[in-house]
Amino acid sequence: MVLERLFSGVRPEVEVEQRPTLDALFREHADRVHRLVARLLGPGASQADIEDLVQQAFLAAHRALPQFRGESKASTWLFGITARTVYRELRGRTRHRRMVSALEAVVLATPEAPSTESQVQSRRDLAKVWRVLMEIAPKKRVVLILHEFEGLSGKEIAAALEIKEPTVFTRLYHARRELFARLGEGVR
Amino acid sequence: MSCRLGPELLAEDPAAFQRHAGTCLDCARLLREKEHAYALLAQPPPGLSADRRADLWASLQAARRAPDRRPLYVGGGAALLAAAALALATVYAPHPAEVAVIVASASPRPVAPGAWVELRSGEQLAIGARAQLIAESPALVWVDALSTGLELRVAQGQVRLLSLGEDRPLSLRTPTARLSLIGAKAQLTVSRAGTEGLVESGQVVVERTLGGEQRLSAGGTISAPAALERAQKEARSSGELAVAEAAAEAAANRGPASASAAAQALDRASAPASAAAQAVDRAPAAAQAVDRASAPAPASHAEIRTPAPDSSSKAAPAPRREAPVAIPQRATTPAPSAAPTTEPKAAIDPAPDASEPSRRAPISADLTPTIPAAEPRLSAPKAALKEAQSLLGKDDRRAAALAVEVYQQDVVGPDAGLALCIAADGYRRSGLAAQAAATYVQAAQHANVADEAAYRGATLLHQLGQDDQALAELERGRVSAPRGALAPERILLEARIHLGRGRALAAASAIERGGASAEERSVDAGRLEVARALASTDPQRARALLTLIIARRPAESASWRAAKEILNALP
Repeated sequence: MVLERLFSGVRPEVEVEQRPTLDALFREHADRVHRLVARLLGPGASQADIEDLVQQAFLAAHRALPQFRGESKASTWLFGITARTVYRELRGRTRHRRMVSALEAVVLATPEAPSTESQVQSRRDLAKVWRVLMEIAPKKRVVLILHEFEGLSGKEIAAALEIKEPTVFTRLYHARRELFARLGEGVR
Repeated sequence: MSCRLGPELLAEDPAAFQRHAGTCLDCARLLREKEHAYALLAQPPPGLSADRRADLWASLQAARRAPDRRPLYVGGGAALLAAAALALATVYAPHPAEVAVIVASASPRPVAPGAWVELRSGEQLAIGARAQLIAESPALVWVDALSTGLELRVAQGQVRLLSLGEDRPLSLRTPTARLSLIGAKAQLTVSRAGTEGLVESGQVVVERTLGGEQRLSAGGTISAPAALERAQKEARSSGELAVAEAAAEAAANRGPASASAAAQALDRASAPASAAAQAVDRAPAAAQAVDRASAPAPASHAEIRTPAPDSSSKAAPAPRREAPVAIPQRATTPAPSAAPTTEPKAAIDPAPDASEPSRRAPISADLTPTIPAAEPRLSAPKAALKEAQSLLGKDDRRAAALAVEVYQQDVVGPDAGLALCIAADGYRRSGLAAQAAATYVQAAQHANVADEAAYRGATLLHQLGQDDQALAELERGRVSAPRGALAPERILLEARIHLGRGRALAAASAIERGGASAEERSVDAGRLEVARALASTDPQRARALLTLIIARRPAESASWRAAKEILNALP
């Protein structure tokens, strides 16, 4: 009952006993958190990288649970923690370059089954689009992914990332603009 | 246009937009492209399988129950940073900064690990049941206890390590070398100027900071003066590694056979005489080292043991011999598209002909059949480069041809590097791996792209089965961009190439000398692979490789668990 209330968007004053537990968060959101981390890191990330960050995000959430005030949905709060965890990871230039470098190797890796020309082209397109996306600054990229592919609203993103809502849309605007401009230019 | 893909359009706007897109071909095309891009990005990443989910939950539970490592890690990191700053201050400042120093009072005295120890001249420090450190001049030493043993960092002064078969592994670090002793009886004198010593029994491993490893057994002596290291470094930076290696080898083999060893090393370098002469000109320190090596040496020095099996390949690796040196060439050279095709496959540029120093060699002779000539004549190289860059992903072959044309004009400096890199990217994306590799090798000589070009070149060469050349490229990347963004990937690739050749020790060395870059998570896979390979032959070293993963990675993470598994299986 408590969980239902928390996860259905009803946000009562959160008492200690009403706070979501780590078990509940994991049960409800592990898949989405995993997907979010994978998306934010891009196809160049290894499974170990993704799982490490998923674990770090849940551990950070576990540590932060006492501070959870119920001002946003638990899922939004958890996504915010996840996004910030990944963002910290992405900020390192070295790591970013590594992801980009690994991108094509992973996406263009020869699959076991023979591919048709269109499948090969599709993988190339995918690598190209991701490469462009990875060239966008992490703070803008995170907003773009949360909004466009994870379906979070501007308000939810603002709450998750602890930024103002207009900032969300500014970043979103610039992220889209850069994405399309670079797609038009080609990439190196 | 982009708002079409988001929810910002008002209710009536989409209809208006659709009407417009139905009549405007440009907008319709742009819309299709952008929707295609979004569709690609929206593809769901691989999901979390039930097994992985269960594993993840188990590891999360374990990590939650484990004592919080984070504050400890942060504290440890801060302490390490402070120690590093302190080490720099003490090494390079004329007067050491004020530090918490344990002042010697008795001799010999036991030492508490994790502390700076100041030693007066002649003072002795007990660093184990059967090992002592003796200060030959006022010295400052950092003593640290690792899970694998004791590590000493000599920041200042000269010390002598006397080991009578200490059970615990001991490791000494100086700015120029790292020495590891496991149960060895040895007497080593260590200072910033160099390291000298004699091994009575057991084994001492000497790893020089700039590369190269020696394993010394009974009767072996060490002589690794800092001047030699500098000679190597100078020669490396001038691109003439073979001569540096010759000098290093000659110096390391001071003794009756020194002159012939030097000659052999130079022979192995197999550079044309003119190129070798140029190299010696450019690397005076290396030449001096060769000269020094020719001088008669004490008999004991002749007893130096040969380098470890792995290091023999480092002494005169084939790729270094043929490391291409791109000689600038004017636009008089025919563009690749016009050149006849005679060679069946791409070749890395041959050594330059010293008689024609002003010509820029063609990038690769066999590019012509596949790459059409660039149409417009270039007026501004930068604009053309930009155009070539913009063609990548759209028409890779044309991008490559354009970049080659820019390169063959009189571009210099970063633009030349960029042109080569774009050309190489174009070839790579077109599936012309050999050409791409050859071009990356050339590009890697330009500092602005050296890091990426060396790595990409090495990757392709490895895929083409040219591991010697790949290792040479990795070495080049290591020298020209030691802390480059792709340093971790370089280390991982080098370790894997060595492992693939069955050289686990060389693979371990590649990781161990990688410094901070080797501590990146991306190198973990390499650490695990090398540790597995060393488990039966050198468990101590395998353990040392895994220590970082255990200490730094989240408990119960995938890499942490794998490391634990290997550790548990170690004898």
